[in-house]
Amino acid sequence: MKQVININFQGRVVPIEQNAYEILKDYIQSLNNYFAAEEGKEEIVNDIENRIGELFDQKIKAGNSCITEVDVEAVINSIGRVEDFDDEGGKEDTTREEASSSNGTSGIGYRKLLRDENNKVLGGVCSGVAHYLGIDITVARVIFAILFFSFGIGFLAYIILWVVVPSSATLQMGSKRKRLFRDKENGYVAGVCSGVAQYFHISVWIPRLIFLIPLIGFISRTLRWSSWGNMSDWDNWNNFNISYSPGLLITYIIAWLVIPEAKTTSEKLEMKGEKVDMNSIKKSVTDEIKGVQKRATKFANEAGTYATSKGTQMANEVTRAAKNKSGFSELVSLIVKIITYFILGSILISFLVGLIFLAVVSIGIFPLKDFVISGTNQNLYAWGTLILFIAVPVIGIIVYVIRRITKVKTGTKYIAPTFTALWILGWISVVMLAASVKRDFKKANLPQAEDIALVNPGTPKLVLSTTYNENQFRLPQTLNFTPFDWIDEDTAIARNVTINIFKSPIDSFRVVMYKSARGADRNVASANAAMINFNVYQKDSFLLMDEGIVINKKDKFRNQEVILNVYVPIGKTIRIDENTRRNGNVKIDMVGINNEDRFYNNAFYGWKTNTDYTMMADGLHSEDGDIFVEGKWGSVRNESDDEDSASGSNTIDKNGINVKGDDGTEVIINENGIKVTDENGKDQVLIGNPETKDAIEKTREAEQKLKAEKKKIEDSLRKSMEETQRKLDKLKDNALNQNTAQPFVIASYNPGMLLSVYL
Amino acid sequence: MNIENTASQMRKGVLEFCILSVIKKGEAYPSDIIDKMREADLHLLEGTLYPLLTRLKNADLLSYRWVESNSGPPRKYFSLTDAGAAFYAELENTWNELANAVDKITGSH
Repeated sequence: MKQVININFQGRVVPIEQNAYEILKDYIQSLNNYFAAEEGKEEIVNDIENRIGELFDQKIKAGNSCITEVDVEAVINSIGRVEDFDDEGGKEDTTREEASSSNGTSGIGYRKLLRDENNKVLGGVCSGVAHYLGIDITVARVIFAILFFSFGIGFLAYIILWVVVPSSATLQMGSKRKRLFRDKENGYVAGVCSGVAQYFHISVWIPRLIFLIPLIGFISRTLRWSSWGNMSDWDNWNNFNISYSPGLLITYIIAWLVIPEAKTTSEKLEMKGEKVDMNSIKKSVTDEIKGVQKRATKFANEAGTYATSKGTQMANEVTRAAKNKSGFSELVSLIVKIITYFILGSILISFLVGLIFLAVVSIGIFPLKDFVISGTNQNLYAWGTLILFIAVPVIGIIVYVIRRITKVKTGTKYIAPTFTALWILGWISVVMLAASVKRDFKKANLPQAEDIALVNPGTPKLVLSTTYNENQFRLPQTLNFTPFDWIDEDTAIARNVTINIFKSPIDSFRVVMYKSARGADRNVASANAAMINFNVYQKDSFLLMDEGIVINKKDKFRNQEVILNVYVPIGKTIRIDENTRRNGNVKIDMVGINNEDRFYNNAFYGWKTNTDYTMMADGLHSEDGDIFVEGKWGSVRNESDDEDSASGSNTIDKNGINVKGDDGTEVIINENGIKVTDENGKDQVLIGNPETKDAIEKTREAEQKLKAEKKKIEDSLRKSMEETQRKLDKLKDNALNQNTAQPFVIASYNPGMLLSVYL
Repeated sequence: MNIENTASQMRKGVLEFCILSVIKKGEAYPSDIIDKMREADLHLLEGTLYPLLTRLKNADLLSYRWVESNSGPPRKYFSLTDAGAAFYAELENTWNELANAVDKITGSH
C-alpha cells in the first residue's frame, strides 16, 4: 500500500506516489546544485522540469492512475543523472555513455570506497572494503574480526569507516553526498580549517583554534630552542606547558596535500552539501538501526539452523577436507592469505608508528643539536636528517595511504619521485652526519689525577652533596637523553659524573678528580678535557659538587666526563644525598656495585641515599646493617627477620621462644609457661599455673597454635635465608664481572648510545 | 589514456555543430532534436541538451518561440538567428576542413 499525493508540477496537478515524489525531489535538487554555476540556471531547470511534466502527462494520458517510482526512474534515466553529465569543461554537453543505472557504482570510471548497501551485516564496511581492494568479503570480515578482538582497533576503525565512508545508496541518489574540500577563499593558509568547518557545519574559528593552540606552543618551543634573540621572557611558557608535539602541524600539511581545493562552483556546493537537519539525521539513523535489527534477527535464525545442521557435518567435512587436497589447500591458502594481510598491515603500521615516534624523538632531541654538532656542514646534515630523512617519509606514507583510501586525484605523478628523491637526500644527510660527528669523537685524552684541596680533611663525616637548580627547564621525563639533564639557550648540563668510594690508606679524607673528553685527535681531546669546569669544594662536613658538567654551544659536547674518587678513612662516615644520586653515577667501588639502572629502587642499588656509612677495616657499614665489604655485598639483615613482618622480631634460643608480630601480638614460651598477648596488649592465654580444666583445654589449643606458628616461622626463616643467599650469589656474580674491568678506563663513547629513551 | 574519455571528447566537439544543423533545417523542439540525433546514432542526454540550448540562446545564436501543444503546456521551438546562421556557416567550414584533413591523414581516400 502506497500513499499517493497530488503535487503542483509546472502548473499541472500530478498524482504521484509518496516515495516517487521523494526521488523526484532529490533529482530536481541535484539538478539545481549541478547547474548552480550556470548563467541561465532557472531556465535550464525549468525547461527540464517542463519536459518531465510532459513525460508525466503522457503516462497519465496512457491510463496510469498515478506516477510511480518506476515511472520517475524511467524519466530520470531518459533525461540523465547529474553524474552522467560531464563534469569537465564547465558543464559542456556530452554524449551519453550507455551506463547501466541498475548499479550505481558501475557507471563510475574508477572504484570508489563505498559501504555496500546490498551486502551488509552491520554497516556494509567490510564488503565495501573488500570490493574496493578486490578481496573476498569473508577475508575482510575475518581481518576485521581479528582486529576487533585483538586490539579493539578494528572496532574504532569500523565505526570511523561507517561514519566517514558514504553508502552506495547515497551515490545512487545523486547529489546528496557532501565532500571535503579546502575552502581557499575563506581560508588563511590553505583553507583547511574553513573547509573542515564547511563540512561539519560549524563556525570556522573552532577548527582554527584546535589547529592553532598547539601550533603556538610548538612555535614558542622552537623559538626557545633556537638561539634567536634573548628568550628569557619566554620562560613563562613553561607554565603553559602546551604539548609541543608537532602532530597537528603535520596533520595540517597532510590535509593540505590530500584535500582537494574547491575550485569550480559545483565543488563549492558539494563542499557545503545538503543541509544536515534533525530530520535527515533521525531518518538515516532509524533506517540504519532498523536494518541492523532485521539483519540481526535473521542472522540469529540462520545461525541457529546453520549451527545444528553444519555441526553434524563438521566432522565429516574436516576428514573430507583432509583427504580432498584441493579443499584443504584452499583452506590453507585462505588462512595464509589472512595471516599475510594481517602481517603486512602490522608491519606497515608499526613502520609508520616507528617513524612518527622517531620524528617526535628527534624533535625532542633537536635542541641538543647545537651542543653536539659544529660547523655549517654538520648543521646542514642535521636539518637534512630531521626534515628529509624523518619527516618526509612520515608525511609521504600518510599521504599515500589517505590518497589510496579516498581515491583523491589531486594529483600529480611527481609526488612519488619527489618524495623518494628527498628521502635519498635524507639518507645522505644521516650518513654524512654520523660520519662527521663520529670523527669529532674519535680520540680520548689521557686523564690526569687532580687532587681536590679539602679545607678540613680530618672531618669525621663527609656528605656528598650536589647543587640543584630548581628553575631550569628540564628535558621531559619520557625523553631522557643521557647524559643531558637540562638545557637553556646556550648551556646544557651533562650528568656525566662518576663517583667512586674507596677506603683511604691514611686517616684523612682525600678526593681525586679525573677529567676526560673526546676529540678529533688527542690534543683536541686534551684541550676539551682541560676546559671542563667542574667545581668541587668542601664546606664544613659537605663536599659540594656542581650539578653536572656545563656544556656550552661554543665548546660543544665531546663526552666530557668527570670521575671523583673519594677516599674514606677507617672510622669515618660518608653520606650521599638525594641530588647526588640523581646527578651522578655513584659507585662504591670497593664492592663494585654499578648502578646503571635508574628504575630500581634504592634498596637494589645496594646503597641508600641520606644514610650514614662508616668505613670499617672490612668495608662500609650502615647503621641499619647494610654493609659493603669484600666478599659480602648488599644488605645483610638480621637473620631472624621475616620479610613480611620487618618490624616484628622472632627469637628462638635456649631461653625459649619469643615471637613478636608487628601489630603488637606476642607469644612467649619459656620455663615460666606460655603467654599469648593480642594486638590490644591483652593477655589471651596464660599457661604455667593451670587452675581449671578450661585453662588446660586452652593450653592445648594454644600449644597446637604455637606449633603451627612455629612451623610457619621456621619455614619463613628458611625462605628468607635462601633468598638472602640467592641475592648474595647474584651480587657476587655481578661484582666479579665488574672487577674484571679496570677501574679507571673511561668507556669509549658511542654517540649512537646517546639516545636512550625510556617510555 | 581512457578510450571512453577520448571518444566523448571527440563527440563533444561536434555536438554543437550537429544541434545547430538540426535546428537550421527548421524550427525544432528539444525532443525532436534528441530524436533526430538518436536516429543518426548520436546519443545525447536531454539533461545536457537543455543547458546547451540555453547557452546558445544566451549567446544570441538561437531564438525561440512558444508554440501551443495539444499534449500539455506550450513548447519552446528553437530557430537560428542571423548570428547563429553565420556561426553555423563558420562551423561548417571548419568541419569540412577538419574532415578533409583527418581523411587525408588517416588515409581513408
